[in-house]
Amino acid sequence: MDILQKRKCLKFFTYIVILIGAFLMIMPFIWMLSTSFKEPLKVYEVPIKWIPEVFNFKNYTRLFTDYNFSLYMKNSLKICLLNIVGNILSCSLTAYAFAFCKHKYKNRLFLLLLATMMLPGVVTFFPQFILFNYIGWYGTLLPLWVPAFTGSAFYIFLLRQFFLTIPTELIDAAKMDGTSDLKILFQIVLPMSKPAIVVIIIYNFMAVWNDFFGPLIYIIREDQRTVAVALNYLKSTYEGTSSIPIVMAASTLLIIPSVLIYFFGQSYVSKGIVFKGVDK
Amino acid sequence: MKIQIRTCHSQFQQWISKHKFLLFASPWIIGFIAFTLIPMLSSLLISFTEWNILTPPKFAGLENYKSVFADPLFYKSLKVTLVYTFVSVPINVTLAFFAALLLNTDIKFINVYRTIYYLPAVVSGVVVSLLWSWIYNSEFGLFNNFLLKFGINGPRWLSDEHWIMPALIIMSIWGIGGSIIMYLSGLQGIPRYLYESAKLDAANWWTRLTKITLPSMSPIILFTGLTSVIGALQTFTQAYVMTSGGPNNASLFYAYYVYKHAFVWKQMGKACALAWILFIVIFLITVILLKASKSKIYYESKDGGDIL
Repeated sequence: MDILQKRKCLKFFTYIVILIGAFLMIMPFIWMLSTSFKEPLKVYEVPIKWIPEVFNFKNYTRLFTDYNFSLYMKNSLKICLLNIVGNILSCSLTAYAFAFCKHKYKNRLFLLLLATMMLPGVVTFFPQFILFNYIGWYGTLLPLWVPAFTGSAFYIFLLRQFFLTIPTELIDAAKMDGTSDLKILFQIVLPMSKPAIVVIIIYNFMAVWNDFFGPLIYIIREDQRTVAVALNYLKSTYEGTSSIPIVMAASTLLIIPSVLIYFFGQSYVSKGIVFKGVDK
Repeated sequence: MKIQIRTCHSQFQQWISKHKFLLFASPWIIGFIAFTLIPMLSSLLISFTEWNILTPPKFAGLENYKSVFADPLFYKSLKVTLVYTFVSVPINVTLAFFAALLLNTDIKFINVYRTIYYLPAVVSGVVVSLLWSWIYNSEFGLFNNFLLKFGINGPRWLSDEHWIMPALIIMSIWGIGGSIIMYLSGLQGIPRYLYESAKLDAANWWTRLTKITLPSMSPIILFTGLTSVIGALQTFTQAYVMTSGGPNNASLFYAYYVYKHAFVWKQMGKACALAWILFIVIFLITVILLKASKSKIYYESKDGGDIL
């Protein structure tokens, strides 16, 4: 076998493995979708029917007529937007400080920032709950978005890494002209950092939209529920397996926004994440 | 008078430019103090008290810690969590790495395949848990029906205490897309000339992998490995949504056990003690992993801040 043939063989093998992997990855989704269109009793059919005989949209419409899902989606969306605005504002300010300002303890503080990235959420979560309970925020949506206005270590890190790729000459020149730092940040640095901003929007949206633990702990009123929590309540209102089609319909509904936002922001992801140290 | 105001004004400006760093970093610094430092310290204090949230805390000394270390379920939950973490993370890191190698080729529709591999990672933990409860249904579920095609009678995954852990580990593999994306961006950053000169030296596939790819990727592998370990040690949603810690506490994850103490049994003191023990465990594991990997991690340049 000559080299060319060998290479072709290898490529074919790669292709097959990728295909099998993709098939296994997408299978659960297809099953979820197919189940979401079924009548409750049809889920017990063996062998599995992949394409339901009748496409039954009742499961989807019932989510809105019987279960208030439009309100839950609005709640989730509201919290997501507040988080994104808060994070972009606070993280860009902090990242600017770490990228372009000087301070005696800057490096030590940066190490501290990286360390908090590794800090397990479980450890801070319970004490935070006690704090929010103490200041009377339990049962409100405030604990779910106010902390975003103080930034998040990972996003600060991403932005700082991206800021460092911006030529310093540009910033120095603006400083010579007497432009204030805030103007430099919002008129020069941020517009050049679009990929990193998009990455933060995608990651933050998914993190908040998908969050289960936070809303589970802090929300007590039914009309404040987010979709993720509402989905779990939906499951527990029924016992047994009769709930499966409507739960699968709600699950499908829950993942659509994440999939869409990833699909449209995808091309930015590889551009916005700068891992390597930057030559200075 | 005018002169005085002017100097005052310029002094103010001087103060601002001198403390510019602190001003700009203030959102994070305030957040760190208010939402991390103070809560952590106060939870340490609370761990030495008996407190049900409703009535004021009572000092209890080391009672909470004593009761934790005398609690067989504490050891059980620690074991469950550690087994899950140190079986699932190595499997996932390895699979994600090879998947990224495969997906780093230029075949047709490669972007479609990459998206498919990543898709499960964008799905909420609640959806993953609900969907897989249904997949693991022993009679009508996808998994056992699939196994039946090969003549295998699948077990009762979620209600058999011996099969729950394998079930959760298999389920975790579905979410490797997040790591794959990291590895892909790392692979694309390896300079091409390294491979070309290796080819000139007639280095085979294995040599190229171990001498070029792995060393260049080692910081990213360490980073994703470490964050996966930290994440897995805090597994909660699966236990809450799928199993309620059962059967026979075989999926009593540590974070779920802490949650039960805090919000079901209203034992805030013991919950804080448990959280601090987990913090120390995670800290030790992180330090050990970082130390153990130190000689094996290759950094191109430390300047400008690599991640670790």
